[in-house]
Amino acid sequence: MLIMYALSAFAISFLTTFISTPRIALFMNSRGMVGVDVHKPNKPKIPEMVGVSMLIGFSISLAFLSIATSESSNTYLAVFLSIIVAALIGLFDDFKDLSPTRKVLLAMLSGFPIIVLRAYNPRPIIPFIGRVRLTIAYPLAIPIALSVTTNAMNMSDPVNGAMSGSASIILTLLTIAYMLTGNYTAFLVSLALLGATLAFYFYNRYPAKVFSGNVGSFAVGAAIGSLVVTSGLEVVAVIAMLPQILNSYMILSTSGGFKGKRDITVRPTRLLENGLIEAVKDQRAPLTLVRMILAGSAKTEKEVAREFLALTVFSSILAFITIIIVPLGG
Amino acid sequence: MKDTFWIYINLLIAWISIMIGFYLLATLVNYMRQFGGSTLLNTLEVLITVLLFLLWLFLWRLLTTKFFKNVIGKI
Repeated sequence: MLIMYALSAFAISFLTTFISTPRIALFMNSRGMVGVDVHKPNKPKIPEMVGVSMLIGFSISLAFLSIATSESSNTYLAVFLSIIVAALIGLFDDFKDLSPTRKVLLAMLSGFPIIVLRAYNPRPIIPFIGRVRLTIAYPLAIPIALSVTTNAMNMSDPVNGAMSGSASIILTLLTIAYMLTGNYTAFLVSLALLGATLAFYFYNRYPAKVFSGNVGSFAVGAAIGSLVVTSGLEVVAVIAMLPQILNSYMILSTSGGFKGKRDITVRPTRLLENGLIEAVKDQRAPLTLVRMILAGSAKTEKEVAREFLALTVFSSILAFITIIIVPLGG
Repeated sequence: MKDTFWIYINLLIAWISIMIGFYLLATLVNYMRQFGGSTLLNTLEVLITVLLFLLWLFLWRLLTTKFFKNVIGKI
Protein backbone atom coordinates (compact mmCIF):
# COMPACT_ATOMS: atom_id res chain seq x y z
CA MET A 1 0.00 0.00 0.00
CA LEU A 2 2.83 2.40 0.90
CA ILE A 3 4.54 1.86 -2.45
CA MET A 4 1.27 2.55 -4.25
CA TYR A 5 0.72 5.79 -2.32
CA ALA A 6 4.35 6.77 -2.90
CA LEU A 7 4.24 6.21 -6.65
CA SER A 8 0.87 7.95 -6.90
CA ALA A 9 1.97 10.99 -4.88
CA PHE A 10 5.09 11.39 -6.99
CA ALA A 11 3.31 10.79 -10.31
CA ILE A 12 0.46 13.18 -9.51
CA SER A 13 2.73 16.08 -8.57
CA PHE A 14 5.17 15.37 -11.41
CA LEU A 15 2.54 15.10 -14.14
CA THR A 16 0.48 18.02 -12.86
CA THR A 17 3.52 20.29 -12.83
CA PHE A 18 4.91 18.93 -16.10
CA ILE A 19 1.62 19.50 -17.94
CA SER A 20 0.75 22.86 -16.38
CA THR A 21 4.18 24.52 -16.71
CA PRO A 22 4.10 25.23 -20.48
CA ARG A 23 0.48 26.39 -20.26
CA ILE A 24 1.21 28.77 -17.42
CA ALA A 25 4.29 29.97 -19.31
CA LEU A 26 2.11 30.81 -22.33
CA PHE A 27 -0.32 32.65 -20.09
CA MET A 28 2.43 34.65 -18.37
CA ASN A 29 3.99 35.48 -21.73
CA SER A 30 0.67 36.72 -23.08
CA ARG A 31 0.29 38.99 -20.04
CA GLY A 32 3.79 40.39 -20.43
CA MET A 33 5.03 38.73 -17.25
CA VAL A 34 8.55 38.10 -18.50
CA GLY A 35 12.03 38.42 -17.07
CA VAL A 36 15.34 39.02 -18.80
CA ASP A 37 17.82 36.13 -18.86
CA VAL A 38 20.82 38.30 -18.00
CA HIS A 39 23.45 35.60 -18.44
CA LYS A 40 22.76 35.19 -22.16
CA PRO A 41 24.44 37.60 -24.63
CA ASN A 42 21.16 38.20 -26.51
CA LYS A 43 19.23 38.81 -23.23
CA PRO A 44 16.11 36.78 -24.13
CA LYS A 45 12.79 37.37 -22.37
CA ILE A 46 11.59 34.34 -20.41
CA PRO A 47 8.11 33.84 -18.87
CA GLU A 48 8.22 34.68 -15.14
CA MET A 49 6.32 33.42 -12.08
CA VAL A 50 5.79 30.03 -13.74
CA GLY A 51 6.67 28.48 -10.37
CA VAL A 52 2.92 28.57 -9.75
CA SER A 53 2.89 25.22 -11.57
CA MET A 54 4.90 23.65 -8.71
CA LEU A 55 2.38 25.06 -6.28
CA ILE A 56 -0.40 23.32 -8.21
CA GLY A 57 1.59 20.08 -8.24
CA PHE A 58 2.29 20.25 -4.49
CA SER A 59 -1.36 21.07 -3.67
CA ILE A 60 -3.00 18.31 -5.71
CA SER A 61 -0.58 15.66 -4.53
CA LEU A 62 -0.92 16.67 -0.87
CA ALA A 63 -4.70 16.68 -1.25
CA PHE A 64 -4.51 13.16 -2.69
CA LEU A 65 -2.40 11.96 0.25
CA SER A 66 -4.73 13.59 2.74
CA ILE A 67 -7.74 11.78 1.28
CA ALA A 68 -6.09 8.48 0.44
CA THR A 69 -4.17 7.86 3.64
CA SER A 70 -6.56 9.61 6.07
CA GLU A 71 -3.80 9.45 8.68
CA SER A 72 -1.62 12.39 9.64
CA SER A 73 -3.81 14.74 7.59
CA ASN A 74 -2.67 17.44 10.02
CA THR A 75 0.85 17.20 8.57
CA TYR A 76 -0.39 17.44 5.00
CA LEU A 77 -2.56 20.44 5.85
CA ALA A 78 0.23 22.22 7.75
CA VAL A 79 2.73 21.74 4.92
CA PHE A 80 0.14 22.80 2.33
CA LEU A 81 -0.81 25.98 4.21
CA SER A 82 2.83 26.90 4.86
CA ILE A 83 3.57 26.61 1.16
CA ILE A 84 0.51 28.67 0.24
CA VAL A 85 1.40 31.46 2.68
CA ALA A 86 5.00 31.58 1.42
CA ALA A 87 3.86 31.51 -2.21
CA LEU A 88 1.51 34.45 -1.60
CA ILE A 89 4.37 36.44 -0.06
CA GLY A 90 6.53 35.52 -3.06
CA LEU A 91 3.76 36.59 -5.43
CA PHE A 92 3.45 39.89 -3.60
CA ASP A 93 7.21 40.30 -3.92
CA ASP A 94 7.03 39.60 -7.67
CA PHE A 95 4.56 42.47 -8.11
CA LYS A 96 5.71 44.92 -5.44
CA ASP A 97 9.45 44.16 -5.08
CA LEU A 98 9.61 43.99 -1.29
CA SER A 99 12.62 45.14 0.64
CA PRO A 100 14.87 42.29 1.88
CA THR A 101 14.02 43.06 5.52
CA ARG A 102 10.30 42.82 4.79
CA LYS A 103 10.86 39.57 2.88
CA VAL A 104 12.65 38.03 5.87
CA LEU A 105 9.97 39.15 8.33
CA LEU A 106 6.97 38.25 6.16
CA ALA A 107 8.42 34.82 5.37
CA MET A 108 8.11 34.00 9.07
CA LEU A 109 4.34 33.99 8.60
CA SER A 110 4.65 30.71 6.70
CA GLY A 111 5.60 29.04 9.98
CA PHE A 112 2.35 29.95 11.71
CA PRO A 113 0.10 27.29 10.16
CA ILE A 114 2.44 24.67 11.63
CA ILE A 115 2.26 26.26 15.08
CA VAL A 116 -1.52 26.79 14.98
CA LEU A 117 -2.18 23.21 13.85
CA ARG A 118 0.44 21.94 16.35
CA ALA A 119 1.90 19.86 13.53
CA TYR A 120 5.36 19.78 15.04
CA ASN A 121 7.27 17.66 17.49
CA PRO A 122 9.08 19.83 20.05
CA ARG A 123 11.51 16.99 20.79
CA PRO A 124 14.04 17.12 17.93
CA ILE A 125 16.88 14.61 17.76
CA ILE A 126 20.29 16.23 18.07
CA PRO A 127 23.37 14.19 17.05
CA PHE A 128 25.17 12.59 20.01
CA ILE A 129 22.60 13.99 22.45
CA GLY A 130 19.43 12.24 21.37
CA ARG A 131 15.96 13.68 21.87
CA VAL A 132 15.84 17.04 23.60
CA ARG A 133 12.74 18.67 25.01
CA LEU A 134 12.29 22.18 23.56
CA THR A 135 8.64 22.77 24.40
CA ILE A 136 9.03 26.55 24.43
CA ALA A 137 12.04 27.15 22.17
CA TYR A 138 10.94 24.94 19.26
CA PRO A 139 7.67 26.68 18.34
CA LEU A 140 9.46 30.03 18.68
CA ALA A 141 12.13 28.81 16.26
CA ILE A 142 9.66 27.57 13.62
CA PRO A 143 8.96 30.98 12.00
CA ILE A 144 12.70 31.68 11.95
CA ALA A 145 13.44 28.29 10.37
CA LEU A 146 10.81 28.84 7.67
CA SER A 147 12.16 32.31 6.94
CA VAL A 148 15.69 30.88 6.64
CA THR A 149 14.75 28.09 4.20
CA THR A 150 12.42 30.34 2.18
CA ASN A 151 14.94 33.13 1.75
CA ALA A 152 17.86 30.72 1.25
CA MET A 153 16.08 29.09 -1.71
CA ASN A 154 14.99 32.51 -2.98
CA MET A 155 18.62 33.64 -3.06
CA SER A 156 19.74 30.35 -4.65
CA ASP A 157 18.39 31.04 -8.12
CA PRO A 158 21.31 32.90 -9.74
CA VAL A 159 21.55 30.73 -12.90
CA ASN A 160 19.17 28.54 -14.88
CA GLY A 161 18.00 25.50 -12.95
CA ALA A 162 19.99 26.20 -9.77
CA MET A 163 16.99 26.51 -7.45
CA SER A 164 14.76 23.78 -8.86
CA GLY A 165 17.68 21.41 -9.40
CA SER A 166 19.14 21.87 -5.93
CA ALA A 167 15.69 21.56 -4.35
CA SER A 168 15.20 18.26 -6.20
CA ILE A 169 18.52 16.96 -4.90
CA ILE A 170 17.73 18.00 -1.31
CA LEU A 171 14.24 16.48 -1.47
CA THR A 172 15.67 13.24 -2.89
CA LEU A 173 18.02 13.04 0.09
CA LEU A 174 15.17 13.77 2.52
CA THR A 175 12.96 11.14 0.84
CA ILE A 176 15.67 8.50 1.35
CA ALA A 177 16.31 9.73 4.89
CA TYR A 178 12.66 9.50 5.94
CA MET A 179 12.37 6.05 4.40
CA LEU A 180 15.46 4.84 6.26
CA THR A 181 14.27 6.28 9.57
CA GLY A 182 10.78 4.82 9.17
CA ASN A 183 8.87 8.11 8.94
CA TYR A 184 6.51 7.06 6.16
CA THR A 185 4.23 10.10 6.32
CA ALA A 186 7.20 12.38 5.73
CA PHE A 187 8.45 9.97 3.04
CA LEU A 188 5.18 10.42 1.14
CA VAL A 189 5.14 14.21 1.58
CA SER A 190 8.73 14.44 0.42
CA LEU A 191 7.93 12.44 -2.72
CA ALA A 192 4.94 14.68 -3.43
CA LEU A 193 7.20 17.74 -3.24
CA LEU A 194 10.00 16.08 -5.22
CA GLY A 195 7.72 15.28 -8.14
CA ALA A 196 6.84 18.94 -8.65
CA THR A 197 10.37 20.33 -8.35
CA LEU A 198 11.77 17.66 -10.68
CA ALA A 199 9.11 18.34 -13.32
CA PHE A 200 9.75 22.07 -13.12
CA TYR A 201 13.50 21.51 -13.43
CA PHE A 202 12.99 20.01 -16.90
CA TYR A 203 11.79 23.42 -18.12
CA ASN A 204 13.96 25.58 -15.85
CA ARG A 205 17.36 23.93 -16.50
CA TYR A 206 19.84 25.51 -18.91
CA PRO A 207 18.79 26.99 -21.29
CA ALA A 208 15.73 27.95 -19.25
CA LYS A 209 12.36 28.17 -20.95
CA VAL A 210 10.66 29.36 -17.75
CA PHE A 211 11.56 31.24 -14.57
CA SER A 212 9.97 30.33 -11.26
CA GLY A 213 9.70 33.86 -9.91
CA ASN A 214 9.68 34.60 -6.20
CA VAL A 215 6.33 32.81 -5.97
CA GLY A 216 8.05 29.57 -6.97
CA SER A 217 11.25 29.90 -4.97
CA PHE A 218 9.37 30.94 -1.82
CA ALA A 219 7.01 27.99 -2.24
CA VAL A 220 9.92 25.55 -2.65
CA GLY A 221 11.78 26.97 0.37
CA ALA A 222 8.66 26.73 2.50
CA ALA A 223 8.04 23.20 1.22
CA ILE A 224 11.45 22.03 2.43
CA GLY A 225 11.24 23.98 5.68
CA SER A 226 7.74 22.86 6.61
CA LEU A 227 8.49 19.24 5.69
CA VAL A 228 11.49 19.18 8.01
CA VAL A 229 9.83 21.07 10.86
CA THR A 230 6.77 18.81 10.86
CA SER A 231 8.71 15.59 10.35
CA GLY A 232 12.13 15.91 11.96
CA LEU A 233 15.69 15.40 10.66
CA GLU A 234 16.38 19.11 11.07
CA VAL A 235 20.16 18.60 11.26
CA VAL A 236 20.18 16.47 8.10
CA ALA A 237 18.32 19.17 6.17
CA VAL A 238 20.70 21.89 7.40
CA ILE A 239 23.71 19.89 6.21
CA ALA A 240 22.11 19.15 2.83
CA MET A 241 21.40 22.88 2.41
CA LEU A 242 24.92 24.02 3.35
CA PRO A 243 25.65 25.50 -0.12
CA GLN A 244 22.39 27.50 -0.02
CA ILE A 245 23.03 28.58 3.57
CA LEU A 246 26.64 29.49 2.69
CA ASN A 247 25.38 31.51 -0.28
CA SER A 248 22.76 33.51 1.62
CA TYR A 249 24.94 33.98 4.71
CA MET A 250 27.88 35.24 2.65
CA ILE A 251 25.64 37.60 0.69
CA LEU A 252 24.24 39.07 3.90
CA SER A 253 27.54 39.35 5.73
CA THR A 254 29.65 40.71 2.85
CA SER A 255 27.11 43.17 1.48
CA GLY A 256 26.50 44.78 4.86
CA GLY A 257 23.14 43.33 5.83
CA PHE A 258 19.76 43.00 4.13
CA LYS A 259 20.12 44.73 0.79
CA GLY A 260 18.06 44.44 -2.35
CA LYS A 261 19.52 44.09 -5.83
CA ARG A 262 19.16 47.82 -6.40
CA ASP A 263 21.11 48.64 -3.25
CA ILE A 264 24.12 46.54 -4.25
CA THR A 265 26.40 48.98 -6.06
CA VAL A 266 28.82 46.41 -7.50
CA ARG A 267 27.46 43.21 -9.06
CA PRO A 268 29.31 40.01 -8.06
CA THR A 269 29.70 38.74 -11.64
CA ARG A 270 29.81 40.10 -15.18
CA LEU A 271 28.98 38.65 -18.58
CA LEU A 272 31.85 38.75 -21.06
CA GLU A 273 31.46 39.30 -24.79
CA ASN A 274 32.34 35.67 -25.48
CA GLY A 275 29.38 34.54 -23.35
CA LEU A 276 31.44 33.46 -20.35
CA ILE A 277 30.61 34.73 -16.87
CA GLU A 278 33.45 35.96 -14.70
CA ALA A 279 33.79 36.93 -11.02
CA VAL A 280 34.22 40.61 -10.31
CA LYS A 281 37.46 41.33 -8.42
CA ASP A 282 36.08 44.18 -6.39
CA GLN A 283 35.87 44.01 -2.61
CA ARG A 284 32.60 45.93 -2.64
CA ALA A 285 30.88 43.07 -4.49
CA PRO A 286 29.01 40.54 -2.32
CA LEU A 287 30.61 37.12 -1.94
CA THR A 288 27.97 34.92 -3.57
CA LEU A 289 28.37 31.20 -4.20
CA VAL A 290 28.46 31.87 -7.97
CA ARG A 291 31.29 34.36 -7.43
CA MET A 292 33.17 31.66 -5.49
CA ILE A 293 32.57 29.14 -8.29
CA LEU A 294 33.96 31.64 -10.79
CA ALA A 295 36.89 32.70 -8.61
CA GLY A 296 39.39 30.44 -10.39
CA SER A 297 38.29 31.13 -13.96
CA ALA A 298 35.41 32.41 -16.07
CA LYS A 299 32.87 29.75 -17.01
CA THR A 300 29.76 29.28 -19.11
CA GLU A 301 26.39 29.51 -17.38
CA LYS A 302 25.89 25.77 -17.95
CA GLU A 303 29.16 25.01 -16.15
CA VAL A 304 28.20 27.28 -13.25
CA ALA A 305 24.80 25.59 -12.94
CA ARG A 306 26.42 22.15 -13.01
CA GLU A 307 28.89 23.17 -10.32
CA PHE A 308 26.08 24.59 -8.15
CA LEU A 309 24.22 21.29 -8.35
CA ALA A 310 27.40 19.27 -7.78
CA LEU A 311 27.99 21.18 -4.55
CA THR A 312 24.43 20.37 -3.46
CA VAL A 313 25.00 16.68 -4.28
CA PHE A 314 28.20 16.80 -2.19
CA SER A 315 26.45 18.33 0.82
CA SER A 316 23.59 15.83 0.45
CA ILE A 317 26.15 12.99 0.55
CA LEU A 318 27.53 14.50 3.77
CA ALA A 319 23.96 14.64 5.12
CA PHE A 320 23.47 10.98 4.20
CA ILE A 321 26.71 10.04 5.98
CA THR A 322 25.36 11.90 9.03
CA ILE A 323 22.30 9.62 9.06
CA ILE A 324 24.55 6.55 8.88
CA ILE A 325 27.01 7.51 11.59
CA VAL A 326 24.61 9.20 14.01
CA PRO A 327 21.33 7.51 15.02
CA LEU A 328 18.57 9.97 14.12
CA GLY A 329 15.60 7.67 13.79
CA GLY A 330 12.74 6.78 16.06
CA MET B 1 35.88 20.99 -10.50
CA LYS B 2 39.63 21.60 -10.11
CA ASP B 3 39.38 25.33 -9.40
CA THR B 4 36.33 24.92 -7.18
CA PHE B 5 37.96 22.22 -5.05
CA TRP B 6 38.41 24.74 -2.24
CA ILE B 7 34.60 25.17 -1.94
CA TYR B 8 34.20 21.41 -1.42
CA ILE B 9 36.91 21.53 1.26
CA ASN B 10 35.10 24.47 2.85
CA LEU B 11 31.83 22.50 2.99
CA LEU B 12 33.64 19.43 4.33
CA ILE B 13 35.25 21.51 7.09
CA ALA B 14 31.86 23.06 7.89
CA TRP B 15 30.31 19.59 8.22
CA ILE B 16 33.14 18.22 10.38
CA SER B 17 32.98 21.30 12.62
CA ILE B 18 29.19 20.88 12.98
CA MET B 19 29.68 17.26 14.09
CA ILE B 20 32.46 18.25 16.51
CA GLY B 21 30.27 21.06 17.82
CA PHE B 22 27.39 18.68 18.53
CA TYR B 23 29.76 16.24 20.22
CA LEU B 24 31.09 18.99 22.49
CA LEU B 25 27.54 20.13 23.18
CA ALA B 26 26.56 16.56 24.08
CA THR B 27 29.47 16.39 26.52
CA LEU B 28 28.40 19.66 28.10
CA VAL B 29 24.73 18.63 28.31
CA ASN B 30 25.60 15.27 29.90
CA TYR B 31 27.74 17.10 32.45
CA MET B 32 24.98 19.58 33.26
CA ARG B 33 22.39 16.83 33.60
CA GLN B 34 24.29 15.59 36.64
CA PHE B 35 22.73 18.53 38.42
CA GLY B 36 19.23 17.34 37.54
CA GLY B 37 16.77 18.82 35.06
CA SER B 38 15.34 22.26 35.59
CA THR B 39 13.92 25.02 33.43
CA LEU B 40 16.96 27.17 34.23
CA LEU B 41 19.39 24.49 33.09
CA ASN B 42 17.36 23.78 29.94
CA THR B 43 17.33 27.50 29.13
CA LEU B 44 21.08 27.67 29.75
CA GLU B 45 21.64 24.74 27.37
CA VAL B 46 19.61 26.48 24.64
CA LEU B 47 21.52 29.74 25.16
CA ILE B 48 24.89 27.97 24.99
CA THR B 49 23.75 26.25 21.77
CA VAL B 50 22.76 29.58 20.21
CA LEU B 51 26.09 31.19 21.23
CA LEU B 52 28.05 28.24 19.84
CA PHE B 53 26.09 28.52 16.60
CA LEU B 54 26.86 32.26 16.27
CA LEU B 55 30.54 31.55 16.95
CA TRP B 56 30.49 28.82 14.32
CA LEU B 57 28.93 31.22 11.77
CA PHE B 58 31.63 33.81 12.48
CA LEU B 59 34.45 31.26 12.11
CA TRP B 60 32.89 29.85 8.91
CA ARG B 61 32.83 33.32 7.40
CA LEU B 62 36.49 33.86 8.36
CA LEU B 63 37.48 30.54 6.80
CA THR B 64 35.53 31.19 3.57
CA THR B 65 36.94 34.69 3.04
CA LYS B 66 40.47 33.41 3.77
CA PHE B 67 40.04 30.58 1.22
CA PHE B 68 38.58 33.06 -1.25
CA LYS B 69 41.45 35.51 -0.82
CA ASN B 70 43.91 32.72 -1.62
CA VAL B 71 42.03 31.95 -4.85
CA ILE B 72 40.99 35.35 -6.16
CA GLY B 73 43.56 37.53 -4.46
CA LYS B 74 42.82 40.45 -2.22
CA ILE B 75 39.12 41.30 -2.02
